[in-house]
Amino acid sequence: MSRHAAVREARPARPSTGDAALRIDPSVCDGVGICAHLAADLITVDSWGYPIVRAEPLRSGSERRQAEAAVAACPRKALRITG
Amino acid sequence: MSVHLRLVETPAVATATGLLDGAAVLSRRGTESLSGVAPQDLDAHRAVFGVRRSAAGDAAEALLAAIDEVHLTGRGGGHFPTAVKWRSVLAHGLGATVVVNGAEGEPGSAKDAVLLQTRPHLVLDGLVAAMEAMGSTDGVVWLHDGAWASARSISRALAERATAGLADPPIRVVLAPDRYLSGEATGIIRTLEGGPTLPRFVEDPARPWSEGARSVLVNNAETMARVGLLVTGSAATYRPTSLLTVVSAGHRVVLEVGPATTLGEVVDRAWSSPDGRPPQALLLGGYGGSWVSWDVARELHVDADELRRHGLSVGAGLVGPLPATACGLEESARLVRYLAGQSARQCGPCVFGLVAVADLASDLSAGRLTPSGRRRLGRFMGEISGRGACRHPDGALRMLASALTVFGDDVHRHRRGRTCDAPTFAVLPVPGES
Amino acid sequence: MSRDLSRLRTAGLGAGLVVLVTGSAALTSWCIGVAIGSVAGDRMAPWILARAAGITSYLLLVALTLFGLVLSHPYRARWRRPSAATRIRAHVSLSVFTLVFTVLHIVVLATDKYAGVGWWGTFVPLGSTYRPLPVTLGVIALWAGLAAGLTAALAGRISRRAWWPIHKVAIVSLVLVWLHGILAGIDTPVLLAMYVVTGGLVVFVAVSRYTTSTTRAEVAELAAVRATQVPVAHLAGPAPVETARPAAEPVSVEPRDVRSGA
Repeated sequence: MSRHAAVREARPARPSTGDAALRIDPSVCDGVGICAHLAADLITVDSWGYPIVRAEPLRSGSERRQAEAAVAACPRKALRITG
Repeated sequence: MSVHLRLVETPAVATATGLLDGAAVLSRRGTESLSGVAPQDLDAHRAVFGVRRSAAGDAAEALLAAIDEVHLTGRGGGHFPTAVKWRSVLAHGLGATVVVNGAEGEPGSAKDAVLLQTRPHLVLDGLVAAMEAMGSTDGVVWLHDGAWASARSISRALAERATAGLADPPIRVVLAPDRYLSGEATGIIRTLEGGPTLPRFVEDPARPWSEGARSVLVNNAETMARVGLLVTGSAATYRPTSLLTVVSAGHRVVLEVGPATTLGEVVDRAWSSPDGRPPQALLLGGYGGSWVSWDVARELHVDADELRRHGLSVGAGLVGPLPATACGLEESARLVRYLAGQSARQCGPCVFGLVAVADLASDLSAGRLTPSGRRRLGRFMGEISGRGACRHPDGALRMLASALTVFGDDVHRHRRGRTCDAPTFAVLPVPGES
Repeated sequence: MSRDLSRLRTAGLGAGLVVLVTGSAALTSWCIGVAIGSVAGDRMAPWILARAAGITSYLLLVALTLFGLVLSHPYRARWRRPSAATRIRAHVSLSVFTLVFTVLHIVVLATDKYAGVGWWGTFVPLGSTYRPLPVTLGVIALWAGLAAGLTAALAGRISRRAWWPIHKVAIVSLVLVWLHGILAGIDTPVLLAMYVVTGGLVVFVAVSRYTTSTTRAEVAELAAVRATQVPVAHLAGPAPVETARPAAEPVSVEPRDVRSGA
């Protein structure tokens, strides 16, 4: 069944397995704002009320808890913790 | 209108090494009126470029090696290494849908339309080779609604191939809504999965399709034509040229140049100056590209590495010279306004931010930007950057930021309320403008 | 496991904070009531205090609701001041102050023997002997408001996403409070005017908030323009179609499962 050398050679491309970080899908976000309230250390809002999510990984248990609360509370399910 | 321009450095006789054997002339807008280069039927195509070799099975690796060897990159604008993209799709197994993306969203650009209308078999050879390499049974030619000349050319070529008994895998022609963002790859994939033709957020750029959905390979029409060159010729005969669209006041010229050509030569050959003078600057890449002053641009070669060292890219191949009598800020404000209007309206930073930036850019262009407006413009540009699901807002900001640098003297004058009162305006075509 | 525990602890802390604020507000108001009563010796004093606290709490609730409506208004990006961050902070702070003055209003009334409301009437619908209907409206408003505030305060922890739909119906609380005020709190034309003006303002903002087209509606409009698949044979025909679009009805693009057909 080895009809493709290319398939054999290709390594699966995986997302970087770095530290956990909070990520947002901006196309889903409606700028409700609860996340900025719940995760004030990780999220600020821009001039239009949309969240600016800190790109750096979560550094402490408190940041982790804030991120989890924001993820769970977002009515649009726009947030995710990756890694 | 039948101005026939010869290529800057290609020999007069067509060879199997370049894409075009002449320059194509089009009207200022649209892609339906093409002159200068004749369409190529299957026999002519084979006489010029040769017969396509199979890329199925183990030949796929040889093709990938050739793509690697010539450093082929995505000509839709991103210039991502094609071989890397192919391998990351192959990593998810065989059977991907393969899309040749000919929906040129850039209103100024016409290079893909020229290829589709004059070299349909070369593009299709590339598509079929990519499908064979991917083990694909679903090929898509992705065009935008209204690109009837391209759709006709491809459809005729497909019929011709069927008549000639070529064993091509099934290929369908799909027309996307006629919008700037219809050529955005995530929007194409979303459409193929049954969704709307709008960009979407992709967590892992190496897997832009949905979890569990069929994998998809999307390559620009020029990229695919270059794959066609590799499967009809070889890496040894391949020449690393670029297709450019040069925009003049009344028409556009699509031409092919090699890395030894300077942008100065490109403009000399393909641009009609409205006042006999050289341009003051060029917009390079696309409406989300960068302005370059003429003094810098004229010496630059159309060479990816050299351009990258200057923070530039040939992007989607657009070369938009700005006449000496035009105002770069006015032109940029106009383009930002257009790009803001072409937002898919999905992401807050793009929907609200880009419009706010466009308003401030218009204020600057009209000489009524207040000091607080200036601060806001800077803050907004910083806030929006990198925050859309796709790169649309980033491109618009890059173009505007380059304008603020390249037209720095104008910025100072405009700030003091003195505009350029430029007699030439609306240099680059924008759909919907009369 | 430990994550659940810490989540519980955070929720407990939040709840504790609410109890603390409410408790201290209750204690303070009770002290003020006693102080005023003993010093002035006027049995009307707690009544006046309760009325004042009630009106203050109503005005705070109006401001709170207005900030909430502005936070989600489709035009919010056009208003530069107060900034989005300030709007969120103001909305949260106003909720706390509203709660404090509501507690003051309630505690003073519940402890005022002459008011005829009592603790039972304060928390149970129709439990008041004094003007049962208006008081009951206030009681329901209290519970509705508490539900909106507490679920939002505990969002992501206990109420997770439930806070959002609950928050949206929270405007019912203001409607009830408004009726409560209109039925039981008007003894001068000035108060009537206040209720009419503030009520009208909230209605105006709410109507414009819910009737203005959102960006989501615009996305839906763009999404409605679908890509179409063109029958190849039609375009490839011998007679070139020069200008017009092909007459054939384009078929919609659905992902085909070629594997099953192959």
